[in-house]
Amino acid sequence: MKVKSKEVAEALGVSTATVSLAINGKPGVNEETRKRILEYISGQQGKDVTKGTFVKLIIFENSPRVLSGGMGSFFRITYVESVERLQRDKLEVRLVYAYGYEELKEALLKSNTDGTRGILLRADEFGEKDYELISLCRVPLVMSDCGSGEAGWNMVNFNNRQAVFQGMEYLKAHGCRRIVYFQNAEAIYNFRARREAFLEYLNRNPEISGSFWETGNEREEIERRAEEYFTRCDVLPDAVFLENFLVSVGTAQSLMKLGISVPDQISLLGIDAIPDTVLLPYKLTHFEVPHKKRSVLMAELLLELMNRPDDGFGRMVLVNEKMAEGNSVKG
Amino acid sequence: MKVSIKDISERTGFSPATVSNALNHKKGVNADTAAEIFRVAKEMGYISESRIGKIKFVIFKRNGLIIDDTPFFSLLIDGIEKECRASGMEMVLCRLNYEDEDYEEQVNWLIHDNSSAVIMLGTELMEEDVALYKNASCPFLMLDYWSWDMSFNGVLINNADSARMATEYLLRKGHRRIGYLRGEFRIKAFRSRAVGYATALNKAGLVPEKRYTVTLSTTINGAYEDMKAYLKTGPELPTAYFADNDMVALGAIRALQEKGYQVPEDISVVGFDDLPFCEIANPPLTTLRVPKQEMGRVAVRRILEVINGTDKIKTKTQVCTIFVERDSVRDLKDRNGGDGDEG
Repeated sequence: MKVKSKEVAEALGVSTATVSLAINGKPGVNEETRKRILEYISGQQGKDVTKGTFVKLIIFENSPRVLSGGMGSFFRITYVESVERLQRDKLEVRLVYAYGYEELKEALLKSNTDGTRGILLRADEFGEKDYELISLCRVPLVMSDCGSGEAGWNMVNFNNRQAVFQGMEYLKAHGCRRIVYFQNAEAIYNFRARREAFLEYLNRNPEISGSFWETGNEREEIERRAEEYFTRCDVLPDAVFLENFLVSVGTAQSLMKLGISVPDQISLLGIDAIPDTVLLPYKLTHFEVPHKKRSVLMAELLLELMNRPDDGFGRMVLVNEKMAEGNSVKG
Repeated sequence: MKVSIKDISERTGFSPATVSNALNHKKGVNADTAAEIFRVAKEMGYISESRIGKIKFVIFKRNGLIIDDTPFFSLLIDGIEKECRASGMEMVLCRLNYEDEDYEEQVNWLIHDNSSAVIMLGTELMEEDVALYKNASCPFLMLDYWSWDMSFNGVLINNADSARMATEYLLRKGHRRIGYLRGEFRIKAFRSRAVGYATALNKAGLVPEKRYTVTLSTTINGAYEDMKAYLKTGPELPTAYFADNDMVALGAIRALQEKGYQVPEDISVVGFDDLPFCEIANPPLTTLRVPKQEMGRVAVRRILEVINGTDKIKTKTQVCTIFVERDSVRDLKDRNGGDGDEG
């Protein structure tokens, strides 16, 4: 049951203004009073509110941004699913962008004392040095799309390895033996994990010959670099494995320009769906990256962490990627 | 004794101008400086603790037909976040689902929470939904929606003028039979676009004709399927279409091309929004670009004025679009041969 601030004020002999300050995590109330107020409310509502009432969603962006302009925003809207889930548990979600190391440091330190109950951290653009900041955090924290580090870390990641292995098996089953992997210029966690999986697959399957080709980060650049590859190679490879949707789009453009037909002359398989607005003469066989599901799982893991004592063992949730079969692979 | 800006300035060591700028959420004050000034201002009793320190960005979802999954809204959020940060406000994200059982309760809680200001993304709001929000006791602004009775502060796209501009462009290119690809879910923005389209035709001595109006779903696939079904009926087609948005335009183009029509040789299309990648559509789509980030920023700046009480009147701010000319419109005056398609 909800309690009115007036009731709380009367019961504890404080003013309603003080109650409001305490609830909203604002300065101006002494810690002892805040604790009394929150404990009283927790008792009345049968729900622990002493640890703060809001959660922070921190979006880390490397500075300068890795995913340029409107491209990254294709994904970021998916954090709304986290918000929806947390709201169901009556938690307010504050959005904070952290551009680079220093801002993330500031955001994490601030969260230790401002009434933040928990943090969701989108860490897809983490560089090596950024990981060291995690130890500063004193509230429950769930990260996503980043490497695992210490035992206590909690994270939700896409299962990149599963997708790459399943995709490669599929290409192999369709007779592809020479496969080239088109990669972005950047090395963010998800991209690195896909590349490592590709290499591992090649090591285990010597009958497949594979190689990497760096395209770029911008669509135009990817298109140009893909074209360069196709015009330079003596014989077209059987298939191209496309690292993400932008590489898929750029590569598709270059193939159309060169008049190379998919899948007759070359097979394509990509990770992540291409946006609806891109119309291609074939349906790309690809792995659906469950961005929304990931966001919900992050929220659920955080809720779990906030509602039980910390046992010191972090969890890593891996979300598998489903294959959506199109007609871009021959046979 | 009453505390003045000067007192705060002396206590903090920052100039009175900086103190004033910080307290009024003006730009150009370092975030740490602003925080310190606020802390001291509160301590000295210059501002009361109940002063609004956060802005809630509320995404209203009626059925998700328009706002689901499009990059448009994340760019808006980018703009809002940047401006909130620049002015030292916390930004809270809220989702409001019309289909929730306790929807009304959620709304009431939202509009009477005096510790926050609300910027509500009203893209999917219908006129009948609006009454609830009229009692808002917190600073409140509608984004991408406008109510005729002027009960809200609004920041929206200049839909009517933009649509008129696009239609006039088609007229200038020699088109006289200009049809309308009409989004099925009639959000307010689409209605305004229809008005702009009709205005341009009227000014040219023409009228919107029913036979050239096609109602399509607002997803690419939906629009494609609907257009395909429409073309099967063997309709008489205009020489050009103005479309409610890019999704509708691109879906229709795909259906037209499949049916053997060339765009723009046989039929021209103008979209609305300038979604990512519509520059690589085949043909690249001529459309209207909505400055999304800027729209978010304008909304925050406007609500700060409301919060600070610097003006009491309600305003409607319309963000102008930018016409982006690409290759999906044919210049009929330019052609050689002329196959006489003036109806």
